[in-house]
Amino acid sequence: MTATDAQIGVYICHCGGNISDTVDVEKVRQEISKLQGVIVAKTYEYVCSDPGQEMIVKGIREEGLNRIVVASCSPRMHLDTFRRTLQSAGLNPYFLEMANIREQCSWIHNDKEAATSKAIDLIRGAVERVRHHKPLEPKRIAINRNVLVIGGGIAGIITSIELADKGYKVYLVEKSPSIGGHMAQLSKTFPTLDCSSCILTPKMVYASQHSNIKIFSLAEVTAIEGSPGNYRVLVTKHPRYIEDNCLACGECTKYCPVKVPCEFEAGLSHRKAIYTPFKQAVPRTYVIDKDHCLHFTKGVCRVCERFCKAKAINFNQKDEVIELEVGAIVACTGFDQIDPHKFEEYSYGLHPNIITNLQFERVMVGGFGKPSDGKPPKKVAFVLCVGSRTLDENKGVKYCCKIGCMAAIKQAILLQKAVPDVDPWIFYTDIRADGKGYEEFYMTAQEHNVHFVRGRVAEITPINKDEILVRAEDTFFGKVVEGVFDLVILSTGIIPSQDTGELAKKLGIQVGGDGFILERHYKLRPVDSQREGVFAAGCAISPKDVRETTLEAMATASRVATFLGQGEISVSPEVAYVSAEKCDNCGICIDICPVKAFESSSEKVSVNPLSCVGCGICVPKCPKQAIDLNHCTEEQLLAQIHGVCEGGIHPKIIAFVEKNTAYASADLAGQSRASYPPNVEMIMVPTTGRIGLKHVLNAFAAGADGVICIEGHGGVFTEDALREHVDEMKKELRKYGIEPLRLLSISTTIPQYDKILNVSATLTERLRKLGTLSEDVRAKLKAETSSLEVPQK
Amino acid sequence: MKLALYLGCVIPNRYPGIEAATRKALPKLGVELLDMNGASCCPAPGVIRSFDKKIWLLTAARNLSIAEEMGLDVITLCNGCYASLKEANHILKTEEEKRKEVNMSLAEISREFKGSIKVKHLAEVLYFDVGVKAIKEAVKRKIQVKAAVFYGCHLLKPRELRPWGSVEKPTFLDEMVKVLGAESVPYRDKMMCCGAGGALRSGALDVSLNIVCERLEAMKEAGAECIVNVCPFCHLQFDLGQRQIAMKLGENFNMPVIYYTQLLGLAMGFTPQELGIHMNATDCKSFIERIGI
Amino acid sequence: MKQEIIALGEINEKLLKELKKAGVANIVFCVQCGTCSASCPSGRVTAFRTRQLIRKALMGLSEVLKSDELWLCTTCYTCLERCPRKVETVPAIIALRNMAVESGNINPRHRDIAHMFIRYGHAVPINEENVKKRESLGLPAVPPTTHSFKQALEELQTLVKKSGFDKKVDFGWEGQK
Repeated sequence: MTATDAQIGVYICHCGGNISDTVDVEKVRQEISKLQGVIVAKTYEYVCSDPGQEMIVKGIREEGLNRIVVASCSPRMHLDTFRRTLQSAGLNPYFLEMANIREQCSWIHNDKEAATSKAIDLIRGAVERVRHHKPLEPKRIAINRNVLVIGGGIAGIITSIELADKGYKVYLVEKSPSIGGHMAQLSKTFPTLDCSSCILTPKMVYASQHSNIKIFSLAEVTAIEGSPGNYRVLVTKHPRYIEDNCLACGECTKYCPVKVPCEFEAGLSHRKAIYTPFKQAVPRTYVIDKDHCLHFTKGVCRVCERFCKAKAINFNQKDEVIELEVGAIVACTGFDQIDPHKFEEYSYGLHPNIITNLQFERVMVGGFGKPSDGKPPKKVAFVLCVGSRTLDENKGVKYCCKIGCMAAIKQAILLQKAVPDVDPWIFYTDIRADGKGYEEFYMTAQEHNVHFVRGRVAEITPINKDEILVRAEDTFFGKVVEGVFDLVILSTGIIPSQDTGELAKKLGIQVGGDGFILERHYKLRPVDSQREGVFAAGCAISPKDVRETTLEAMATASRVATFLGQGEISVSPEVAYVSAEKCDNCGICIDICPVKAFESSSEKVSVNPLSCVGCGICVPKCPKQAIDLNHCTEEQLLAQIHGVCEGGIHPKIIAFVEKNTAYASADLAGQSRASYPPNVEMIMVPTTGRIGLKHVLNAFAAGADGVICIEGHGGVFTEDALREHVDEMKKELRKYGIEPLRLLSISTTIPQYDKILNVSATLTERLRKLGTLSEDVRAKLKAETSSLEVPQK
Repeated sequence: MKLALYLGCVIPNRYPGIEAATRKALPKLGVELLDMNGASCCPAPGVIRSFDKKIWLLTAARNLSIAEEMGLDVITLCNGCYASLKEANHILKTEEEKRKEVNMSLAEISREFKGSIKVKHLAEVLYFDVGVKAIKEAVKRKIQVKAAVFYGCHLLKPRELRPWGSVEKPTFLDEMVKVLGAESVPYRDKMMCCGAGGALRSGALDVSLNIVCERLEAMKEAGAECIVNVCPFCHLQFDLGQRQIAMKLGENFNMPVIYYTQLLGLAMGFTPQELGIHMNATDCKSFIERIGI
Repeated sequence: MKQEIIALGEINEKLLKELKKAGVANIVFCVQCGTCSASCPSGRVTAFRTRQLIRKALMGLSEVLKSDELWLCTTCYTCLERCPRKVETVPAIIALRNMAVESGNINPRHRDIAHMFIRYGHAVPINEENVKKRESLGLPAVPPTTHSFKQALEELQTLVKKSGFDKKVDFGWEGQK
C-alpha cells in the first residue's frame, strides 16, 4: 500500500465533553473531511468505548479504510487500545496515528475558536503523516526469567522470597556486608510489639537457603545494558578479605586494634576493622573494612591472621565483576534519615544523651541504658518532626515521615514497660495514627501514662552531663513549657537512601523532586517504574513501615511475575535502519549512537534492532541521509510538519516534543489545567535529536514562525547534546534569513511542566516583537526545501 | 581601609563614650572613619518601620545615598541601624519597582539611590576585614576578666542577609573578646533578645525590663563580671536598664556594661576616661579595679 | 458585651489580602506548631503568644489591630529563623503594625518618638547632659548628623511631608524650633 492508496478514516472524540465543550468537533470534522484521502470522518462521544471501537472496525472491514486517525486524549492513554482495535479488524496496528486534542488542546486552552483551529491543525498533521505509514511487525523475543533485586532490606528480602517461591531465579544484591537493612536494627515493631529480629531473621535465613535465590553481599550494581526482558547487569563484588571457610568464631575481632564507629549500632558504639555487622548477619562470614584496617592504610598489623583458626583471612582478594542476565529488575534501596546536626537549636552532637530514634532502638536492644553512663533514664523527651513537614530546604523535607509518631509511641510504651518509674514525654505537632491498630496503640500509650504535649520543640539545650533543657509551647494551654530531661530522642525525617539517584540513572528510571523513585502511575501502577521491566518496592518509593513495605514487596513480586510470565516480550519495530546503497561506511553513526546499536561489517554499517532504542539521533547526523527510523520516517515526519503548519493562528510555534518524559510533562500540564498560548502546537518525536536542520527549515517553510525543541531530562539525548545540536542549527538558520532567536530548546522532567509553559510564553512574546517570518524568506525557503525531499501526497 | 561612619542616635546622643572609643581604636587597626555629614536616624527599625514602611525605606535610602556620594561602604556600630540599612540596601538593590518609587521621592531633595555601596557592622569589619590576628597584635594590655559576651539579635538575623552562617551558636564575637585576654563565660539563653527592640522598650518598659532581668540573672549565675556587647541599644538596655530595675524591682545586679570598642580600647592602652566607661549608669569603678587599671 | 463565639461570616477577609499584598503570603502555611511562641523572649514574661497572633491574622480578626499584644514583639527574628513552614512572622507583625497606625491605633509614647524623629531627625535626640559628655570626651558638642546640618533635616522633613507620615502621626508643623 503506497501513500496514494491511502483510504483514511478520522474519528474525533467528544470525550464526554472534555474535548467537545471547548473544541467544535463538528467544525473540525467538516474541515478534515475535505482532506485528500479522507473517506470517513466521524465524531463520537467516547471513541475508546466498545461502540466507538466497533465503529472503527466497521470502517476498516466494510468501508475500505486502510489508515486510521483517532483524535482524542493523549496517545499515552490509549495508543495500545486503538492499535488492538486495528488488529482485531485485520489491519496492521501501525496504520494508526493519534492526535492529542485533549491534554494538549481542550484542557489547555479556553479560547474555543483557537482550540478548534489548533485541533484542525493537529489532525491535519496526523492525516498527512498516516498516509505514509507502513505496516510493521514487532519482534517477539524470549524474556529472560531471572530477576535482579537491588537492596537486601525487608523490601528486597520479601520480594526475592515471593519471586523465588513462584519459581523465578533471583539475584539479590546488597551493598553492605549483610542483608537485613534497617529492620535488623529495630527492637520491636509497632503496633504488635513483635521482636523485629525474630520476624526478620527467619526470612533472612530462608532467603539465603532458597535454591532460587543467590545473594551477593558487599556488592554493587555498576552497569546495566539491554532492554526490558533482556537486561545485562554488571555487579561488582567487593572483597571481604575473608574466605568462605570462615567459622564466624570471632577470635580475630578480639585482637584487632582498630576501633570504628559501628554502623549497626548507629554510631553509639564501636566495632573493629575486622568484624561481623551483627550477630544474625547473613551471610555470617566476617569482613575486613579496608578503609580502616591498618594493613591497608599503613601496611602494618595483620594480627587477625595470626589468630584465625580456619586460616580464612586473605588480604589479596580483589574486586570481582559478575555478569548477570535478567529479565526484570527491582529497586529496593530503602531509606536514610536527615542529619539532625542541621538543627543547631536542637544541639545534636553536643550531648551524648541527645540521640535519634534509630539510635534509641539500639539503646532499647542494649537494655535501656543512657549513652552517657549506661544507667536507665528517668525523664525522657521524644521530639517529633525533626526535619519533616518543613518548607526550610536547608534543614529538612516537605513530606511527613509517616512512621515518626508511631515509632515514638512504641518507644515510649516499651520504655515504660522496661523502666517502670520513667517519665516519657512526647512533643508533637500532630499524632498520625492512620494504620490498622494505630489509633488503639496511641490509646495504649495514653493508658501507660505517656505524657503528650501538643507543641513543636523550639529549643534543646544541654545544661550539664545529666540534664538537658527542652522548650516548647503547649498550644492547648497556650503556655510555654520547659522540662529538664536526661534523655532526648529525635524523630528524624526520612529521605531516600544516598545512592538512589545514581542507581536510578543507571537503571534508566526517574526519581521525583523528592528524590524517591517515580512510579509509572501514582494510583494505578504504584510499583512499576517509568521503564518497562524495572520495578521498585519499599522506602525507595516513599516512607512507610514494615507492614506496608511487605505489602508493596508482595505486590511488586506479583507485577514482576506478570511481566515475566508472558514468556516473551515484543520488541518494538520502531528502530533505525540503514539503506545499504546510500551508506559509505563513514562510521559517524557508530560514534554518536548512545546505546551502541550500530555494528560495522566489512563494507557497511547496520543497526542491531534489539539494542536500538529508537531515539533517532542518528538520522539527521548521517551525511549521506542513509539512515531512517521506522514509524518516524523522513516522509512521515515531514508530511506531519507540513500538515500541522499549513493553517492555523499566527505567529505559529511548532514544538517538537520527546515522546516519553517531555510528552508526559506536556500531558501533565493539561491534566493540571495549566495554560499556554494556542499558537503552540506539539509534534511528538522519539527524541528531539531526531530533528535536524532539514525539519526546522521545512517547518518554517510550511508556516511556522518559531520552533521549540522540548527534550526529556535523563534520557539518551542529554542536555549537553541538545544544546550543542540546537546551537549548530541556530548558526545555519541565519544563512536562510531566519533569526536564530526563533529557535529555542529546553529539557524538562515530568513534574516540571512549568518549563514548558514558560518557554511557550517566552517565545510567543519574542515573536510578538519579531513578527511573523517574512514572506520573502518563507517563499525562498519553500523553493529550497522542495529540493530537500518533501514527500508527494 | 576607609569607611563611612554611620553613628545612629543612641551612640552620639546617649553613649558618646562608645563613639570616642571607636574613633580611637579603629584607626589603630588601619580603619579610617569618615563622617556621613547630615545623616539622620537610620531610621530605628523597631519604631519607625513598625509605624510606616514607606518613610522607613525613604529615610534609609537617603542615608545610604550620603555614603554613595562619599563612594565608601558604610560601617555601623548598632545592630538596629545594621538591620535597617542592610535590609533597605538589599530591597532597593533587588526590587526595581521600589527603587524607582524611592528615587522619584529622593529626586525632590536632589538625591538618588544608586546601589553602589555595602553596609557592614563593626563586628563584620573587625572579624573579616581586620581579622582576629591583627586585633591580637594590637593588644598592649590583656583584659583579664570574665565576660558575658552578648551578640544581640539583629547582628545575626535574618540569616539570609548576614555573613555569619550560624545564628544559634555563633562564636566570632567570643573569639574577638577572648583575643583581648578576657574569658567568655557560657550562660543560659545567651542568644536570647535583650528586650529593647521592636518598639518594646518605649511601648511597654515593664515587659522590656522583665526580659533584660532574665538575661542579667543568667549572666550573674554564670559568674560574669561584665557584659560585652556590640549594640548601643543592648548597651542602653543593660546599663540604664539595671538602674531602672534597681528602682522598680529593687534588684541590684552591679554588672558593668562595656561596648566592644571600649574593651578593645582598654586592651590597646587607652584610659577608661578616654573611652567614656565612667559615663555608664552602672558603676564601673569595680570593673576598672578588677582589671588592674 | 464580650462575644465568646467567633462568627466565621464576620471575619475581615481584607486583612489576609492586605497581608499577602505586603508580601507575607507564606503565612497560610502555618500549622500552629508553637515553635514561635516557645522561642519568644516576650512570651517568657507575658501572656503574649506569637502563634496566636499569627492565627488571628490568618483568621482575619481585626481586633488584632487595636490590641496591645501586637506591640509586645521585639522583632528578635528567632521565631522566623526556626519556623518549619517559613512563615514570615516579623514581616507580618510589621505589616499589621503599619495597618494599626494607619487606622489611628498608636501608643502616645510611640507617637512622641515619631514626632521627635520628624522634628530633629533622630528618634533619640541629643540633650544638654550629653552635649557636656561629648565635649569632655573631646568630641564635637553636637554630632555631624541632622543635628548639625539644617539642610539635611529639611531634606528629611521634605520626605516626611511627601510620604504623608506627618499626617499619620498627627504631627503639627507649627511651633517648630
